[in-house]
Amino acid sequence: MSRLIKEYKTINAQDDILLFPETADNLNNWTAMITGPPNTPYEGHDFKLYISIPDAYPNSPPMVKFHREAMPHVNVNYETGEICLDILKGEWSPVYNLLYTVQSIERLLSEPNADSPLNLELGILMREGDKTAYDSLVRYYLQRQK
Amino acid sequence: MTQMKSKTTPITSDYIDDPNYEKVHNPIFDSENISSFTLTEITDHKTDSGVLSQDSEFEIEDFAYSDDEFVYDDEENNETYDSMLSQPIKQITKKEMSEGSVPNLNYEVLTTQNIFKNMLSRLDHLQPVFNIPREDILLLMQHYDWNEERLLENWTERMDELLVEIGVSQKTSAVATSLEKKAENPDISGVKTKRGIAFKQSFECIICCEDKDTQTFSLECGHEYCIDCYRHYIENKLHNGNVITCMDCSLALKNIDIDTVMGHDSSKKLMASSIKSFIQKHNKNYKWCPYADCKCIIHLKDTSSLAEYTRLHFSPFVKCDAEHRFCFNCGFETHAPADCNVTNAWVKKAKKESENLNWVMSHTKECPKCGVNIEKDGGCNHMKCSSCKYEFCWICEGDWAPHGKSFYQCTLYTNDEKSKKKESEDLSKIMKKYTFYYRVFNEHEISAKLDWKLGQTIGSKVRALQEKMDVSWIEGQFLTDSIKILNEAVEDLSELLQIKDPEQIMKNKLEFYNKSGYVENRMYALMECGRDLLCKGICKPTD
Ligand SMILES: [Zn+2]
Ligand SMILES: [Zn+2]
Ligand SMILES: [Zn+2]
Ligand SMILES: [Zn+2]
Ligand SMILES: [Zn+2]
Ligand SMILES: [Zn+2]
Repeated sequence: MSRLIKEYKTINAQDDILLFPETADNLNNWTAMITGPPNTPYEGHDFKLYISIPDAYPNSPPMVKFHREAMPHVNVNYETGEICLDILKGEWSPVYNLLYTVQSIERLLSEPNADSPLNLELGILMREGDKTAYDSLVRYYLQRQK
Repeated sequence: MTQMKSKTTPITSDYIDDPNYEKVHNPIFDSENISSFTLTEITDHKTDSGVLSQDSEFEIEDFAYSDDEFVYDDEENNETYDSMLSQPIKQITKKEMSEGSVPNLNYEVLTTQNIFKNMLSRLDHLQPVFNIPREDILLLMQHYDWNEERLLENWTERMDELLVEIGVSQKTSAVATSLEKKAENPDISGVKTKRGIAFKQSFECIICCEDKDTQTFSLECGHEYCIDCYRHYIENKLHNGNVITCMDCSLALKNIDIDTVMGHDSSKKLMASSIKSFIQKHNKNYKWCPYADCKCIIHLKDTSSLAEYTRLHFSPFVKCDAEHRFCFNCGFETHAPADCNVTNAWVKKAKKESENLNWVMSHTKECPKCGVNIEKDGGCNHMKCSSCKYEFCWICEGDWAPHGKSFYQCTLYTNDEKSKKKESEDLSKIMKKYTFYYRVFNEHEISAKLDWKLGQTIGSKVRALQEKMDVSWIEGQFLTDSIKILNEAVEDLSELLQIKDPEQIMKNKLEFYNKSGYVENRMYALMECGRDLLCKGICKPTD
């Protein structure tokens, strides 16, 4: 627990980070807002991340999800919002923290990885190397949500 | 042997924990089980094909079997049976069978310890080449999934990089720049931390963020954490078999470090998992015995003969040390006379179709013991065969006794029901998803090319699904069940055939009649289904 309290204090001290616990007395559930990186189809959109902290944290990674049916991305299950990212699984190390995790997910938006697709349709397009189609389909999804 | 003793920790071969250990007897390299098993198997085939050859559509006729001694002439079969019974199973027959047919399978039965021991003995050979401590070579081997050739290749090309990459040594000793680095940043390349456990007062661990008097552990990199955090960390990593590194850099923990931190020989577990992933990566040559809880591994060094088996529609049956028999090709229980393709198609069908139909819909079942047809009359799953009085469970066909007090419910069934439900949910999700995307793409022609491609994928998926729906699940299930039952019966039958004492033979006469009649019937039913599958194009006879 002292680990989460420390992270909370550190994050709180910086005001440019949109990462906060649901309530100040419950550090087991957090939310984060990430901004679509420029020059990606996500530009101009904000995305909410739901973070829940397992009991074994920091030995086990936090569980992070997008809102359901909100993130068209090859490494995200569109329906559930579940994310496929190495550091959220086997590559997690206890030295990582919530901030690093959120930043890694932000980076995933500009660097999709065709090798572990959770969104099969986008995965197919990506493997075909059809970036235009990929981006367009992402934009189509995002547009539709508005 | 002497050079390794000088500076390294001896690595013992009992790193792997296994209750079966005592059982293992074959030392690795000298046991070539030239199996007599193949021969027996072929004899079984013979019996089978004798029965089927009347109207077989499978191409078992490839074998020049003479059917003379296995005539099944239903009306006046007594004589034939009698003459069969008077002929003991002859060695010659076996020999004849093996000649001109499939080659012998040359395999050994191993366990993870055997394989690990084997790896350790390789270390002795490699030590002079690498000229680094054996435990470091072990790390390299583990990292390279015990692939010696690939390791050696990389080693000769770039040994220093490799040592850093795998975490055997640290980057620091780049001689030219080390001086200035030291000047700038004495913390990093200056005083090396000693690898090992220390006791610290009021230590603030950055993992748990607790401030306490505690033991700590650190490698030479100086990334130091409290012993509790380190233990949790290692515990989490033991099962995946990869080299465990420092939490914050790539420096590797050796087995001795792991055992030091954990306070007992946990590295055993890590080695076992590593060997397991080795087996997975070499699953062409190594196969786990598919029987539950069996720890045997079959190692077939030369797989070239497998093609011949396939060509002749035979299956490479092997036998583990616990006498479990299975097919090396498909990992399924012995499935003669069906070949692997047919068997796998059946198994797949049965699995896939199980979503669509309630599998308890059929109202009659054969007694698992004697094969007599029994009708289910009420809701109770507790069945009693009218003929042999065998009591069994309608759902799982297992003996009734272990079902104990849960009279109306088979535990096995409930589990299955749950997973089935999940499966069918998944299926309908997939279908929904495809329809949805199909619509999206029709509405917005993003690009013609794209549309066409996706349409194709969807089309073929949908077609595949439809095709699969065509074969009813019952058929699929019937087939797998039938294979199993048939196999058992064939085994019983061959057991009967082994009886040599004429007195005993006379006593078992009736049993023999029944059994062979049963085998014949089951065989016929199986062939019917096989034909059906062939007609529907689900299985193709291979050449
Ligand atoms: Zn700690
Ligand atoms: Zn380190
Ligand atoms: Zn076995
Ligand atoms: Zn097989
Ligand atoms: Zn019975
Ligand atoms: Zn049951």
